[in-house]
Amino acid sequence: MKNILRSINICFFWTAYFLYIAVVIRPDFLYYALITDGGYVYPPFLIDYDFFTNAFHYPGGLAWYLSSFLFQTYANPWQGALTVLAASICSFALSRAMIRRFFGFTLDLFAYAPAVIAIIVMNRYGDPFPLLVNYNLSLAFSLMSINWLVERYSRHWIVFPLSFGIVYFCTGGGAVLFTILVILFAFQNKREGLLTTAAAVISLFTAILLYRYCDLRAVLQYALVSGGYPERRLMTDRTVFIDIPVIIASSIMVFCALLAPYFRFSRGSKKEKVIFNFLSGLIGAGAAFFITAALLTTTRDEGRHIKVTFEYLDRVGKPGDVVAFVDKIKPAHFDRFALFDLNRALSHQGLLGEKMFAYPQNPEALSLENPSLKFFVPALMRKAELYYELGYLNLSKASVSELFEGSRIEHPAVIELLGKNALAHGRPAIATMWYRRLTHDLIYGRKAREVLRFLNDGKPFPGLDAIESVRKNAIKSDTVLTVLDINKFCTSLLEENPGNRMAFDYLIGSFLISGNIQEAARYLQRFREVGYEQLPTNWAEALMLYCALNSATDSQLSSTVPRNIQASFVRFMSACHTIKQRYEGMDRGGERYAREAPSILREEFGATYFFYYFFHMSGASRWYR
Amino acid sequence: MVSLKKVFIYCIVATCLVIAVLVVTDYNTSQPHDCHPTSDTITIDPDYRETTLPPNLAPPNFTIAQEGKRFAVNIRPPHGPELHLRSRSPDIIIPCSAWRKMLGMNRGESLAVTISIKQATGGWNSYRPFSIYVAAEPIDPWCAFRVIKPIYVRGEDMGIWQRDLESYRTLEMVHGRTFGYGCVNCHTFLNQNPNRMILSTRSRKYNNAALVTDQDNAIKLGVKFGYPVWHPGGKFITYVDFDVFEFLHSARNEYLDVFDMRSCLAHYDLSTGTVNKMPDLMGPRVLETYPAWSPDGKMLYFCSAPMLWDSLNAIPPENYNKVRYSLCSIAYDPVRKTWGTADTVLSAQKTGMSILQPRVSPDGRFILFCMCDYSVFPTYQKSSDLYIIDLSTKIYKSLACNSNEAESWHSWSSNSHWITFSSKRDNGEFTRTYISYIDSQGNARKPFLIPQKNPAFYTTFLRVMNVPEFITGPVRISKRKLGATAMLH
Repeated sequence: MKNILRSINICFFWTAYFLYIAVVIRPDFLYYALITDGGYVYPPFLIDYDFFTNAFHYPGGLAWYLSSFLFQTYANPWQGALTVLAASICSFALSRAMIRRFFGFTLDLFAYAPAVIAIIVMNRYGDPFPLLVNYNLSLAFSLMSINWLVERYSRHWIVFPLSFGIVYFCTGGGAVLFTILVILFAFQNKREGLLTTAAAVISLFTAILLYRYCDLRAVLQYALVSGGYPERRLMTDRTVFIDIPVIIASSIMVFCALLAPYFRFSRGSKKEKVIFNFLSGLIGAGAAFFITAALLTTTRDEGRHIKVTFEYLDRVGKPGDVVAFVDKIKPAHFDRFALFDLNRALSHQGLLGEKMFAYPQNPEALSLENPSLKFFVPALMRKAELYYELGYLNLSKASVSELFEGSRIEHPAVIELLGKNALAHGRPAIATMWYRRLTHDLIYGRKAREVLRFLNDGKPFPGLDAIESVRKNAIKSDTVLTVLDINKFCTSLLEENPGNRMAFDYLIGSFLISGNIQEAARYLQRFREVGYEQLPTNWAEALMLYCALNSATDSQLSSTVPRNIQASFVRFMSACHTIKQRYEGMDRGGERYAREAPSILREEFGATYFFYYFFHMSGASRWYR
Repeated sequence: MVSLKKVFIYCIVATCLVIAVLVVTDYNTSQPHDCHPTSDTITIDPDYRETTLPPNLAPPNFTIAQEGKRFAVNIRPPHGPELHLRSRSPDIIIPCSAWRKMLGMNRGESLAVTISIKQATGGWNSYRPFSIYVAAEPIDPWCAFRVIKPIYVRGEDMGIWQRDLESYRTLEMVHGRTFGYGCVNCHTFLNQNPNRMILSTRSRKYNNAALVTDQDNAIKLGVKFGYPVWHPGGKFITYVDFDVFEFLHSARNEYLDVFDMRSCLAHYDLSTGTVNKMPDLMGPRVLETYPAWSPDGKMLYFCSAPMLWDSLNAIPPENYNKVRYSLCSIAYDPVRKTWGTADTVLSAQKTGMSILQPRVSPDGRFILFCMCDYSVFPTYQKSSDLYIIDLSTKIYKSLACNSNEAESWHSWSSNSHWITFSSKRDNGEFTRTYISYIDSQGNARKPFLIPQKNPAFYTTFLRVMNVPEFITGPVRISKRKLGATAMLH
């Protein structure tokens, strides 16, 4: 009975765990969202001899290799969830075995701890947590196998230094734990004391020698607990409060699991043990479920979730889903990167002029002109993609190359953009170089092979149309670029190709976001040249506003504004006037009007450009509909 | 009765023997029979056809571009045995020892290379043979070059590598990561001597400096050296003191451009540790750059151009695309330490192009330089080509090793018969290091890429290899020591 109950509990927990990861967290968001926060790039995995051998150039390389491979499964939500599930079940089994070895009974609540930490970490997105978990699990697997080896073949002293070498190169700093274990073993095992002590001394000397020829500081700093890439910076100030508990918890688990076979505690009678087992099974799984649910709810970072989702959808070419997603969830916060991605998605859909001001805009949301250093990498990648789509290929290349140069890991998304850029630039030889490299990537490889086939045989591939369109719209006249000003770029693009709708929309959007309706109105007259039959809503509102604010308005301008927009504007102004009258003559009437009017008008006019112009010039970042 | 175990062992041994026989048969080194000769030319990558190779070069492995089921290569020298190679893959790997023997016996001769390909239908096609010429003069055995990613903006991943040209051994001499991801550049050797080197470093944390090595020792000089060169006596270093800027072009293929807002020559006396400005070489308001000493140390060559702008704040400055440098010289008396009067060797007015990066051959006969439409930085100018001027006749000519893409960063071997240079000819972006033979008349032969063990190396190597410098041996000082010196405050 107790076993059935426990099995049901465990199955229920792990099923919920798996589904939560696959459906809510979505590992593919983590994979495709190159970077959302903190400048961290997830690792690629190349089917490549050099990539494999490079893994042995530093201690812990094999763990890195393994975790890089595991991370590729994240490209598919179900496979990714399965990887995390498998790793979590292993850590659960490991912890459970450890508790049983130590205390003689099971205590599932604690055994679930590493798995719960792993899912919380994933639930927060954007940080290297999934990798960290992979590191620790790789370390755990390696150490468990070595542990098994030592337990069975400990009579052969050569096993110790050999095992040490394996552990060292597999998991880096795991070897330190291993050395401690060997010493403890030597003290415990009197029969083979001399040989084992000799083996321990050899191991220690080997360790010293190896450390001497490696970057000791990096090994101690990074590889000791995570067994990872020595050049990788795992700690960030912002995440240190979560990183450290994760590292410590999983390292303790591993350490204890290693020591467990050498300590055997047995407490309580057989009957008590059975009761304990039953209760721990029942309470453990149930409590783990509820605790996990509570922790997931409290630690969920919705802002990052939105950013990751937008970035993912933009990168996998589903801009329509971005708009649908944002309309569905109406997020409480939008940061500039999320808004940037949203505006790009709107532009891809041809909806920038229609809906741009239906969302709380930010002056930087179109071009990310002044990113702080912290957001350097994500801003650079986004800008590179925007410049590419607009047709400023050299500028895009400069941005993405900077990313390629600055990053120690050459991410496939970066290489792909460089390849696309070369294709759009009409330089197939360079594109071949980039795509040839990409063919080695586990996930991007298939797409790269299709492009190479196109380059060899001319057989079209999905996405060729988009590249052709970029090539058509790309800037042709050479000028020197010293100031990164999106208005100037779009103006030049429109001068060369008046039908470039993306440049037109970005130019108008950029003028309007900064309240420059005079300049916007100048270009709005040309809306038919870019293929609009009638002005999109937000653009028409801006033109209406311009007409109304300038008494010397050209009658042609007002005739291009649809009647419903004109009527809406009249209603808006009338409503403003009414509210203003209410506060006229009152103490601090002006201030009260500025405070109260937006909340009164938001419901009806919140999505209009009039509203943005009068009340949200500074781009207040909140959902106001 | 024979035990089962023995039967098992016999079976394994027999299987191994059969496999060995099959392998030997498959890779037997004889020529394929019934070859059908064709007049088609074969394409190989890297292209070593009709090139002149040094007698001490590592085997030039290559990939055959044509498709086929099997590939056979026959290298026939005038002296000694022929070399037959067969492969299932189009990658042809030439055995080192056989290659060395062959070159050793055939200095100054030419090797005839015939490639045959087994077609899908089963028959062998033999392509038109090509020659590889073996020069009598050896090349300096090592080459140092810079390895960076194709776009150099941040200087975070930059290293200097050294390559043994007689084998494939490549060593990282120094990398920016050894001193906090700084930038390393401008590696210059005293008369191709690996023990005397100048290395410029740039680091936000450890400041800009120059490292000067002597055998296993390195010192850090708190001076920023631009394009430094040793005086052949090894007593002082001549360099450029400049303000260099970079900017972007919106549409042209070479999207980066570099110019010196101001520049002048200076020299650093190693014995006294003092910086001395050069005399006013070409008058006020001129730009001077790229110094190069004659082998006797009595003549300094440099490039000079009038400064065409008034404001030092505008980037790019006005008329930046009209700046053309002339090749100038000034005499120097190393005993009295006095300078003569500057003179123009070859003017930009005469050539209509900007003359840059002069390098005097170690025998003092020629100056190798590059010319491009304008600018001080030929790497970013597609028009940049290599030229040579005979100092006795002052006649200059373009070298036959040029391509449609930029050639730059060249240097001489110590016997003045080999040059190495950077070229973007492969695809216009990834700079590679080429070597070319220069005969006694100053004519260049068809250049070739530095051979790699993996013939497909260059097709996937996403780094740029530039600023190659020949050296007579490997640089012995460790990268840790160089890094530690760079980190000194």
